[in-house]
Amino acid sequence: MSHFTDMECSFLQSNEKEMVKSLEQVFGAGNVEVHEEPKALYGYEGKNRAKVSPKSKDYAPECHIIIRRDNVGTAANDVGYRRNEEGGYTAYVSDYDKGHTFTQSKQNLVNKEYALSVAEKKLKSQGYVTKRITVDGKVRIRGGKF
Amino acid sequence: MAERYIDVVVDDDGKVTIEAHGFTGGACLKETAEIEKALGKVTKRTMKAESRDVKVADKAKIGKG
Repeated sequence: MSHFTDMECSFLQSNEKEMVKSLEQVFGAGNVEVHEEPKALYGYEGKNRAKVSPKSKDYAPECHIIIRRDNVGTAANDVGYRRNEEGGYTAYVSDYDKGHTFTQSKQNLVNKEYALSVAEKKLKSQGYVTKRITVDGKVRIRGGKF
Repeated sequence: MAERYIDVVVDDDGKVTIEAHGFTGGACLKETAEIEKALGKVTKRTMKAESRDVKVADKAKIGKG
């Protein structure tokens, strides 16, 4: 029996290494902070975003994975991901950054690299030999047991 | 026996599709279960035509017995 499965991909804490690597593909090696204890995000004016009113659009709680605004782009705010109780992350990307510095196309790039890295890791752990193939803009990880 | 392999395809929008080829019985679902778990949530699953072929062949075998 064979099948096709469509997936909605999301960051999981069990794949944090792959998540950081995929973020570094967009923001540069060494520009993604990982904290065991969450740290504050700062806005473009240097304001601690955890200390503004939770009702404000600028509010963001302290986060475990952080890209500082200087590495995000011009007039950007810090981007953060906070580990949640479901084993995933909640992302904190300001509306300004969604529209200007960390746009959907850049987020797609991160998601793409993350999915490929996680798929490679899992296939190898199941004894598959993997290779990357690019066809018509789609990247394919092929795992076979040869 | 057909060659067994798994393809994980990611397009520029980050859309992910897992394709299992050449497996028989329920082996393909077992083989992709861990990858699916690691990537997120399954939104759609389509069994391939060859899976129906297997069932037809099985029925023919049963009929002969």
